[in-house]
Amino acid sequence: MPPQFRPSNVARANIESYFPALSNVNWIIKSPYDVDYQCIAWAACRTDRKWWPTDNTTFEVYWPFDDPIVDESISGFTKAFSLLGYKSCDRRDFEIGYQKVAIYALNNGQVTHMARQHFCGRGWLSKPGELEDILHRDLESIEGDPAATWNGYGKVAQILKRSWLAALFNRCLLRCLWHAFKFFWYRLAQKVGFV
Amino acid sequence: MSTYCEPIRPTDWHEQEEDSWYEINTFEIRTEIRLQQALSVALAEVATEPSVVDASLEAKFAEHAEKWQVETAHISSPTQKMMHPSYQAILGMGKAVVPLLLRDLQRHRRSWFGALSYITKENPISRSDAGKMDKMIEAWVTWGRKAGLL
Repeated sequence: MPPQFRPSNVARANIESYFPALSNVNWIIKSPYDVDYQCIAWAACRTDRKWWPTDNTTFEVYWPFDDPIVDESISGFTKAFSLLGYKSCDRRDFEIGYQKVAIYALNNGQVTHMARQHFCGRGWLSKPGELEDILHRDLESIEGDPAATWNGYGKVAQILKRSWLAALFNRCLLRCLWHAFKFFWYRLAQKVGFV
Repeated sequence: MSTYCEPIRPTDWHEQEEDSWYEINTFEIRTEIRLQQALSVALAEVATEPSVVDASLEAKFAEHAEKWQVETAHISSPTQKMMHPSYQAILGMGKAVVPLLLRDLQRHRRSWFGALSYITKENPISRSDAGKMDKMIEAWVTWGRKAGLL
């Protein structure tokens, strides 16, 4: 099913209703509305399927680790992303030569969301559930109540980083460029009236 | 002292009796007819009841599904999504909701995979298609058709 293009003002109002702090900062929409992938997949530079730890009883989601236990903890996500070349890191600011991802979690340690740092350090890329990809300047603008159960992201709990070389080997840059290129053409086609 | 006396004609008594018997039976027949009519009306109501239940179930499902989608659109975690009260309410509807879940999956592409597996105890999605929406929907729709639910 093709991605859905919502009018910019509708999409912005909708996204800001979930993350009120975004209304105070600059942020931009980077993709159409798409239910085919979500934040973890996008943090791993993938747009073809949803990623989440699973015990393989439903195959509702994909997880690179074949783990019989659903490990939704920060260590579980850190372990999985180590397969993509990421290591734990203390700094969340942009460092030349490194790509970073941030893990959001609730007070009980349950991971809720991941954001990936823009390749050139322009901010953080997030794919909130099935909504549009967004580029937000800081990690705090989409944080929520860490004591929430189902309706918030909690706080940033862990930063991971990998070298640009690892990102290149993982074809992350290529995939992101292709994704941006598709979005550009979709937008253009929409303006011209083809879509 | 009254003494029993024979009717003047043997038929007098019987005629009288026959009249009253007829009246009583007519009354009984009428009552029976009324009862039968009432029963048939009641049966007709009972017969239409399942569709009424289905309609209300469908309406309840649609309401919960819409609420769930709106309130969890920004959530990526299947665990968090399943913890939403509307999702729990849908799980509580039991097997009757399976055709509605399958239809909704086809029409709106909402992620009901967890609920479907939980209710039916089935998993038609192959490992290689894990997380791929189109393939997962196709697998459940095929399963639904085979099970006669679609």
